[in-house]
Formats: sequence, structure tokens, C-alpha cells
Amino acid sequence: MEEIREEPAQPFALAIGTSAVALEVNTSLYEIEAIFRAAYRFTDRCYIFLARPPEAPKLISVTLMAKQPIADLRVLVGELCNELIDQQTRLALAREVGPLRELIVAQAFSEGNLLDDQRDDGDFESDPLGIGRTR
Amino acid sequence: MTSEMTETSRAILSELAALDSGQIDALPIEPDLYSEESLSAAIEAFTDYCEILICQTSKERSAVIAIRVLDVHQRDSRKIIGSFLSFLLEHAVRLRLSRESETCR
Repeated sequence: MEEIREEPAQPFALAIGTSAVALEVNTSLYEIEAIFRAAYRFTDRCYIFLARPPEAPKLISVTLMAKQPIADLRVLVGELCNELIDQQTRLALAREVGPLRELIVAQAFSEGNLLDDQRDDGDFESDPLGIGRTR
Repeated sequence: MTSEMTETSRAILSELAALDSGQIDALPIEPDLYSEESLSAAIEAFTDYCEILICQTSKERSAVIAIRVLDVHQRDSRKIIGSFLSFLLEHAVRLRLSRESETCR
């Protein structure tokens, strides 16, 4: 059995053996989607397992096992923490600008004008925008 | 901020720190993290390398799996169990992404 060391000063509970490391991520800060995406980014270097401790359902336990021996597993944890912030920010941005991005893409591939369907159909005689009207 | 690691996380860490032994006695599988579909796909993919036992827990729909690497592959235990976990994760991520793109369509 490998020795497990706990580092209570960390923002997440963290335990380090010599070949595996675990951290608990609070889902009120990071969505499950962001946790999955961040974990996926590490599959080239680590084997990863996710679980939800029944005694703390708001937490997701992430266990990393390095594929190659690594001098300091805490480096991995630090990188994973940064990746979590990155993925959570991407999700927030996608939510914020997602509809606008979809509209731009839809407009780029559509023949008419999605925002103003009369804009491209009209001519100077019909004057749909009333540009020639006296005020 | 000080926080203590949960018993479950400690237990998982202890299990997975000993991947080389070729035996994992209990890994909790939550259906909202790893779906039944992902678990079945992973078990099918690794059936030539290890035996996997699924036990349903009292908690609804969640399960605990036990993994034992077959004797002929004992030398590669770490790689096999680790790859099983990676397969499970990748399958779960792919399912989530396909569900997401379905919603977009």
C-alpha cells in the first residue's frame, strides 16, 4: 500500500501517492462538462478516473495516474487546475457569444438576410426602409 | 481554505495507486458520469484482457466494478487497467459531445 499524503492548505483536498494523485473539484465552481473536457486533455499523459463521493455529492473526485514516471505529481495537478479554469471559461464564453456566433454562421451560409428579410428583396422604387420618404 | 479529502476519494486513490497488482476491488461508477452504454462498450473492448464484475449498489442506478487482469497479461496490468479507464472516459466524452451536437442540429 502506498503512502497517502494530504495537503490541507490546497483549495481542493489533495492526496499524493508515488504514482497516483487525487483531487476533488467542487461542481459549484466548475461544471461537470468542464471537468470532463479538462480530464480528456490529460489522457495522453495520464490514466484518469472520475467519481462522485456519495458523502459529498457536490464534489467530483478526479484521480490521475501518470503513464510515465513523473518526479512531482503536483505539477500535473497544477496543470489540471489551470485547464479547469480554461475549460470553464470556454463554456461561459460559448454561452455568452454562442447565439451570436450561430447567427453569423447562419447568415454566412444563407442567401437572404436573416435579420431583415426585406433588405435584400426591395429596390429603390418600393423603398422598403422608407429612405426616400420626406420627414 | 482548508478541506479534507472524502473517504471515497481516499479509497479510490488507494485502489488506483496499486494498478500494478492487476486487481481493482471496488471502483464506484456513477451513471451521470459514466453511462451504462460507456461501461458496456469498455467491458466489451477489454474482455480479452481482464475480467470485470459489476455490482449494483443500493443507491439507485449506481454501480461498483471490480477488475482483474487475466493471468497471461499480468505483466501489463497497469497499462491494461489504465487503458480501460481511459477508454471509459473517452467514450463518455464522445457521448456527451454527440448529445451536444444533436441539440445544435
